[in-house]
Amino acid sequence: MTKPTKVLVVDDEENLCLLYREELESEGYRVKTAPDAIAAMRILEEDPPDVVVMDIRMPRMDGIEAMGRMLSKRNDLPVILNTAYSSYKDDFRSWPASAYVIKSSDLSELKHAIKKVLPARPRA
Amino acid sequence: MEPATLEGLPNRAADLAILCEIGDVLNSSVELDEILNRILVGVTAGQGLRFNRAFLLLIHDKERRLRGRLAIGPDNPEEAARVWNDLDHEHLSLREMLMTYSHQVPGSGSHVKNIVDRIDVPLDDAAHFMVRALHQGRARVVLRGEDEASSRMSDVLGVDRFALVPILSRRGPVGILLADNAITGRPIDASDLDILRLFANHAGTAIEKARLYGHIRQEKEALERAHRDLKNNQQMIINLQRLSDLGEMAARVAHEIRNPLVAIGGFARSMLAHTGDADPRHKPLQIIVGEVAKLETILQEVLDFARPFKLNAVPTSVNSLVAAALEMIEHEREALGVELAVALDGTCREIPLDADLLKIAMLNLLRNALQSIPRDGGRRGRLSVRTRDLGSIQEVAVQDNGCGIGLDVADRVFEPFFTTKPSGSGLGLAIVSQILREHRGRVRFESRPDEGTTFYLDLPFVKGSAA
Repeated sequence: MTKPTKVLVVDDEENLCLLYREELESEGYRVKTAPDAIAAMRILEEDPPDVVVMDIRMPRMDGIEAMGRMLSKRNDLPVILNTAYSSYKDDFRSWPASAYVIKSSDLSELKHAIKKVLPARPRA
Repeated sequence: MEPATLEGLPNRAADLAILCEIGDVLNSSVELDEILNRILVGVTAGQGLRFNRAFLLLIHDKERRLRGRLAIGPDNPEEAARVWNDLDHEHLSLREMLMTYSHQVPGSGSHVKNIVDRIDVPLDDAAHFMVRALHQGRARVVLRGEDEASSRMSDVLGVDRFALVPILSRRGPVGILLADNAITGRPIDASDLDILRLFANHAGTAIEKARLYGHIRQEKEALERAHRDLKNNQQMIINLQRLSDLGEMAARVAHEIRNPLVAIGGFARSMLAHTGDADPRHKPLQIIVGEVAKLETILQEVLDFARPFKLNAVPTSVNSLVAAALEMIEHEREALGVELAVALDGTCREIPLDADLLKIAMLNLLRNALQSIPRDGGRRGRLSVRTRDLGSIQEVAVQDNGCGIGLDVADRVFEPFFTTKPSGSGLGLAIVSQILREHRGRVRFESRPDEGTTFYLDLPFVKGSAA
């Protein structure tokens, strides 16, 4: 049996973290959540994820900067920017992201994006 | 000194007193009409210069003409007797008389008014006795038969002789005063002329003062108008700033609301997925999911509208955009049981477009079409989408067989916040119109109530059209 794909969700909204955990776990992913970029960087070291779902507007460090730091450590890491703002899409600093998803109560676009950015490999 | 001159001295002193009095009264006003009236009253009053009638002619600089302006005097001996009798009984001083009668402009029907209205002499007619008088600046008695023009004037006035005096100001002649004794026939002597000339000087100064004052008043009004306009513009700028602040606030609020909505709708969807049809919670959860989806759509429209568009135009196939937009509404369309007919013109070339924005525009049109289609059975809902390459433009047509757009609202459908739907932001078509404008294209529609509507997107293919 292959190891389940690990998703790291970074979002300062606790309730959204709960929602993403519940929904993604039901899709068969193993989910870790972090309330900010600093905590996310620690998890990146301790329990490396296969894909990161990153909010942009967060206290302490924004998601775009956090993405830059993560990619400087692991340039093959797929990062999905998941935000309430469509404006960052035009921001060139967002370009390194593997996908850009606007937050919606319908998570199918996010789930679809996760499937798409993962390197082709069997999933639990 | 000649005895005759000595004899005239008391008269002379009285005349000077009259002049002083009239000059004082003239100086007390800056209203041109009031001054002109007082001049004529002064010339004709029994306590004043005692002419029977007086006519005032003014120079119109722009038209270069001398025109009759105002006249005073009785129409005939009967009227003269009545008026003079009345005045005698009132025992008015000259000053009182000037003040009292200076507001009475003779009506348009009066004889003297008819006369003065007929006087109109071009200043370029240098040989005319009145134009000559203006240049020479001399007061004189004009006699019938001096020349053709003076005879004509005598006919008009109905007298054989009349006094003429130019009214001069420091800046040159301003007009002419004519006076006669048409009723009493009293001759006009040299001292009458003298005092008339002195009087005309006062009149000239007063008229000049009134005109300067009028000029200053006009300037002041112009300044006040400019000031008012400036204030209005300032208010408009403040309003625009407020509107822009409001837009920014709306965007902030929309973003703040989005996260909680995702949580509410997300969990409701999750619960709905784990709840069977028979479960009593199934229907309420469905409602929550549906309502949250509506709110999210409104939120997205507010954000799309508030966002300044940065057109990112690259060669794009309109057909593939249509296909992508249709795919996004496929689920809704099927759920509503709406038939779909698609006819894409294969000759459509790629044209420079912002694919994301155009997709938003198409989605808005498609959703609008679906919403206008009646749900209560009857005829089957039908949605038809066509593209055509028309050379200079490519046209996308979205047709429905829905309720149509009433004539009463036809010119308002593209207005922001205008909606006929019970829910919705009223921004959908405003956004479409804004996006098309950014592309230098346009959106238009044809509609028949209860038969349906066709919206057309005209996308121009112009070099630099979407730079």
